[in-house]
Amino acid sequence: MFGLASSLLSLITSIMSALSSIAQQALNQETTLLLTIALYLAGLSYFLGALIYALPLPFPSLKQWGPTMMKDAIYVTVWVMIYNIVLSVADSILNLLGVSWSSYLQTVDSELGSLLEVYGYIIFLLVLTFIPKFIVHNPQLVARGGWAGIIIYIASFIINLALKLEHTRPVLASLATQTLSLFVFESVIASVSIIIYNGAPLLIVMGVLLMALPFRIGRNAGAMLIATTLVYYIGIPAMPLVLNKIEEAIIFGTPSTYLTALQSLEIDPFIFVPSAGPILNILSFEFVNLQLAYFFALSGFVFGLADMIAGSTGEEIIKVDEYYKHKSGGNEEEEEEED
Amino acid sequence: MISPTLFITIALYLAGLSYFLGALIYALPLPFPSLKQWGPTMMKDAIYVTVWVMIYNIVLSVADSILNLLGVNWTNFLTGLQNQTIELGVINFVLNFLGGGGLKSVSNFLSGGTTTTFITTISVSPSSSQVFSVTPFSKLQLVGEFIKDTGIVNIFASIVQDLFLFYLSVYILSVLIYNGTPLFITFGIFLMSLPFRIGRSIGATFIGTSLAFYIGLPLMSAFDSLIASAIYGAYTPPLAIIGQYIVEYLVARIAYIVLLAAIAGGLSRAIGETAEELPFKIQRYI
Repeated sequence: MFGLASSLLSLITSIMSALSSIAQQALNQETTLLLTIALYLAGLSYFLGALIYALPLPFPSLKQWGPTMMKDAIYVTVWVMIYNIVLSVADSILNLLGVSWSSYLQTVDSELGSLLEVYGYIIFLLVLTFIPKFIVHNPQLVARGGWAGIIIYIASFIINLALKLEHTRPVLASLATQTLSLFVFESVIASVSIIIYNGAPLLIVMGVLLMALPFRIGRNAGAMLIATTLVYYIGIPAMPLVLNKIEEAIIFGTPSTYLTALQSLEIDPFIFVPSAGPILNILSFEFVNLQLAYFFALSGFVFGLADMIAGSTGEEIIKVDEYYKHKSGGNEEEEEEED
Repeated sequence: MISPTLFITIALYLAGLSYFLGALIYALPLPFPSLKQWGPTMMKDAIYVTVWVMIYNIVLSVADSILNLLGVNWTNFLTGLQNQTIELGVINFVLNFLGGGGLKSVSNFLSGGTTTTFITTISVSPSSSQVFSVTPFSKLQLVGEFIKDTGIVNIFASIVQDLFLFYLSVYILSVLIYNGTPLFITFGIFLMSLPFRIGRSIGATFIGTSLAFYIGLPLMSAFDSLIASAIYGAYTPPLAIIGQYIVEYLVARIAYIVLLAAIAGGLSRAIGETAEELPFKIQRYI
């Protein structure tokens, strides 16, 4: 089963790598195209502004659009020029902090792998608990002749094992749900990170394009997009740098420590089942609560940066906590079940 | 009968009222500057509203021609969204059925509701003997119970349910925008024509929001393809497919609608100098 899963994963990986080479080219082309459109739109804004400035109409509220739009167009042109520099400044800030995207993504990848492995082990235990039930409810299989002695012997052995596991079936079910929901949450975070990592130039150029729209139509939206991308581009890989210190100080271990501990317990189900619950609770605190707190802190930076770029802010664009808000209801139920 | 024509007519009359009220205030022999300054303001506003009454048809056809230039089509967009919503609804039903132990109840139903219980004693090991109460248990029931216990169906069911509700609300919003844009724009003009700038910002918000969403919503698939090309980029942890699915179809689309809302705010501010909160809040349904 694990062999099949790993071959499936390697197949998916090879498909992804084939897709990524195509996607990367498309991404570069789209970025260049959007940049060109942004430059043209800035030109349009500039000349519209000049036209309005020159209009022989006595409406100050209309005329004041002239200098505003000309200034905006120049500002956008500056952004078109410096967007590459801004990205390399962000990269050098990451270098100064001593963090890198590849190591962060590898950490997330290994965490996701460990979570999936723990989930697979819990499912394996669940299957074990179901085998004796199956045999008990199909006694004709045991009673059938020939290999009867051996079969009954093995069945009784499994039943014997299962009699202890059978009582833990609700606990196992709740552990499975908890592990899987942690996995889903972490993979959402991972996918948001991947979008930011791969799409940072594209998203910044989209923000510049929105800012280039005439009459300040997309100024807030563009500034929020640029600010979100920049802050997350620097903030997400720096997350372990901040959170690991807090985790080591408060709860004496990073997620990887606890995941390794959980995996080392997998030798003995009779130790694993009672101790996995508390460890999973600590892990869900680290994965969900602390990461959401970190993203909340990042959104503060986003508002500040958007204010700096456009002089005003809009609404938060990437809403990780919004997604998790009603998912936490499921976890509370499970904790009640465990009690 | 509420129709764009009715709103336009009322708006034109109200603009006239505003203009002459403004002229009246302008001509009043009273020494209150704060009152007197309403005079030119209201006259200018009335002229502005009259311009909007004249150009609202042109604005609508410009929006349509922008959509044509971008190569998107409301009919295709609505059909695609409708099909996706129906598919998600069916998947949602099936997953909820499986996750709620539906297989068990079906097998109960198929076996004719036989609930005869008999008790057998099986000696498990020489040391202990256990008593089981055994009901006729089919393989289907066991499989159903196992699926329920793994939790995988329940989690997928909750994800698909989110997607389904989100798609449903986006679909309803799209139908509302597609059918109601002329009405919303004329209603916005009507609100802007109320004297003393009572409805100026909310009217501008109506116009700006319906225009931004009328042009922006069918472009959602273009944004999807941009996000997809970013998500399948250079480095991808192979295990994060569930998260990619959620991010691509839920988080990214919410982000797109929030962006559209921000653009709507900018457009409203360009139309009416100030803007209110959006009349509909799609992101609150998530």
